[in-house]
Amino acid sequence: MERDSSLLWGRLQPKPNPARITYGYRPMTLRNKISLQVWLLALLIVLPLMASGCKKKTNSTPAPVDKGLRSTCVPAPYAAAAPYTYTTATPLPQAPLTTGYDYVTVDIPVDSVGIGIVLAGTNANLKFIEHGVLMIPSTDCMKSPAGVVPFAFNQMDLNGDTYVDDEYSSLSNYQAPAVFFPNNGQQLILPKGRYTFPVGSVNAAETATESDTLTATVYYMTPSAVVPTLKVNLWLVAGVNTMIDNDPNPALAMSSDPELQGALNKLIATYRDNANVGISVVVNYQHIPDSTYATLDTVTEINTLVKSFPTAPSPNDAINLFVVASIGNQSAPNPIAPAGVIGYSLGVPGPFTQQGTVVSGVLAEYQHDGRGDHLGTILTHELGHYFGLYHTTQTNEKQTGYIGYDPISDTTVCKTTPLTTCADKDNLMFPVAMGITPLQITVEQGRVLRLNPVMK
Amino acid sequence: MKPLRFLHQGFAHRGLPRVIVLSALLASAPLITPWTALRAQQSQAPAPAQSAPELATVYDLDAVRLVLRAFHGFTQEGLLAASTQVPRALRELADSSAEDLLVRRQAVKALGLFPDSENFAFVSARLNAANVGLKRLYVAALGPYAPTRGAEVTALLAAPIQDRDALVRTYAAKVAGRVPLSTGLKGLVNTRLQVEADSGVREALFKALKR
Repeated sequence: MERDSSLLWGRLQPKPNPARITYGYRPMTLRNKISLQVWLLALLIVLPLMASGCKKKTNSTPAPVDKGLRSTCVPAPYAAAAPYTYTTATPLPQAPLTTGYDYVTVDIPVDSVGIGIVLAGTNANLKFIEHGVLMIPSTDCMKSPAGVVPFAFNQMDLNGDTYVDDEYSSLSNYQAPAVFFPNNGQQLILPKGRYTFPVGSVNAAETATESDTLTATVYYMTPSAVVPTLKVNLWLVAGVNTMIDNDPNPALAMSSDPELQGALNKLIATYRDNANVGISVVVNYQHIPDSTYATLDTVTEINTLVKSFPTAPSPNDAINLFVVASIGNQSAPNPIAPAGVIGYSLGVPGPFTQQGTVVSGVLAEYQHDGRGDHLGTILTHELGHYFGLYHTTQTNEKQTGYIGYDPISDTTVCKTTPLTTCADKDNLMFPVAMGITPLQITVEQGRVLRLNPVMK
Repeated sequence: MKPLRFLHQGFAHRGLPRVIVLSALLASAPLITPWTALRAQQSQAPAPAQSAPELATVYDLDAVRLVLRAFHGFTQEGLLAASTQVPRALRELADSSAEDLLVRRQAVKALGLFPDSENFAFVSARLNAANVGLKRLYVAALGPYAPTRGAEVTALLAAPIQDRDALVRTYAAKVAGRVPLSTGLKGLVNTRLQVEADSGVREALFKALKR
């Protein structure tokens, strides 16, 4: 009696072809079945391993170029990728600023791994003074409780080179300057006690407004068991995408727009999936119904936009990403220079979780490509600045050479041309949008990102 | 017969359970991923313009592309250093449908740094670009010509200032604000003001009149 073999595998197994049986086809024996299954199981194990091997090779970081930075690294007793949490400390009463520069004094109550400060005042040129900006002596830089300089923000001219100090000086008006250290990815244990930071006016000739009483918000980071989360408000300005504008629920429509979604996917993947970062991202969609903000021609317009949307969904809780139609367009009589800006971070770093200041957020131009890859690259790059990262290689305006580099030792510096051959061209903070996916983030860059007080 | 179907049927006829075959195919998915990622990367990389070898030689398109791709902008000096044929290179990049849209947009913006007659003719002929993002930029690119070629620019703005896209109208109004005041310009702006509902456009139109 011939058994219908299709019963063996239910509906998954077709009935044997009688024609083939006629020609001597024999059903597979149990032994052969087992050997084939073993072979397939081996494939199941080997193939993914091969695939992961390829991926690892693709993502490998090239050997870094020695930047000549002195190592002040103190090995920490916790993992490199440890999450941190911040607490705000009350700064000591500050004396009004006088001429030159003064100090903000902060008491940090416990040993920490990072300190961030945001200043507020009426002085539009208020700024943390880093060694090199006003060329103050290095001994007058930030001082630790022991009275020494535990970390120099700007270690200049160590080998004839500089890293970028303040590339946005023409844009920011410094009404909410922020500083964060260590911003070079080193692992430090900052002892509890009193720290001093030099602050002053970026306008050396200014004396009239320097009698300014400061307020400061101080964040200090300590190791935490919580996986860091980044909250972002994605703001789309009316006029940029009329289909979204015309939707009864524009914020909901944003969540299905292919370009915005493509951009967010890239941003989230970059920060979450990179083993050196591992930050989860929560997005809140917001629509700005006023198309006045869609075309930003002046610094004032940028600052007005960024300052005007401080509260949703909850105050002081997320970073604002503003998607606009254009930044500094030629239709204006005096557009922002240089021309052709596609994205801005309003600070390096930005004022952490503080919203409602003129520098609270990043900007990016909607690209109208329907994919969002470039928009995602722009937003992700500008967020990197907002977290305190500089360009890995600061190129000249001709894009033919380098003029500086970041303070991070495990990023490469490109000293070759053309830039398409640069080893760091796939890095998140390369200054040119090369259209590369995935964007790379080094271990030390990841550490800077994770130490930022924005991460919850 | 498609190869995949053939493979599947072949295994099935030899008594191999389909569930195992499908599992094997699913397991091989990670193998496909790097390939698809590579393809995606290739498709996102700056695509060469048409007849790229010749153009790259003449215009140094690769160098121009690099300057245009900088996140934080470009300068006239930077572009001039990249190519001896900058305006032509920019027009070529702006027009090439094979080019990355980011580069095309940046090229249109960069045209404003070289306001010559050829670029004026180029921009004027593209005020109806199919991509609304490019269309806005082309209208905005009339800005540098507004102070010196007021009558021509005013005539060119007649259509964009009534465009269905609010930002095209905004850019047209902003460009109008750079044209020396004349009866023709005032008429154009006032006519639009009577029907304009968008607050952003209205503000730009008011600014064009009150200066």
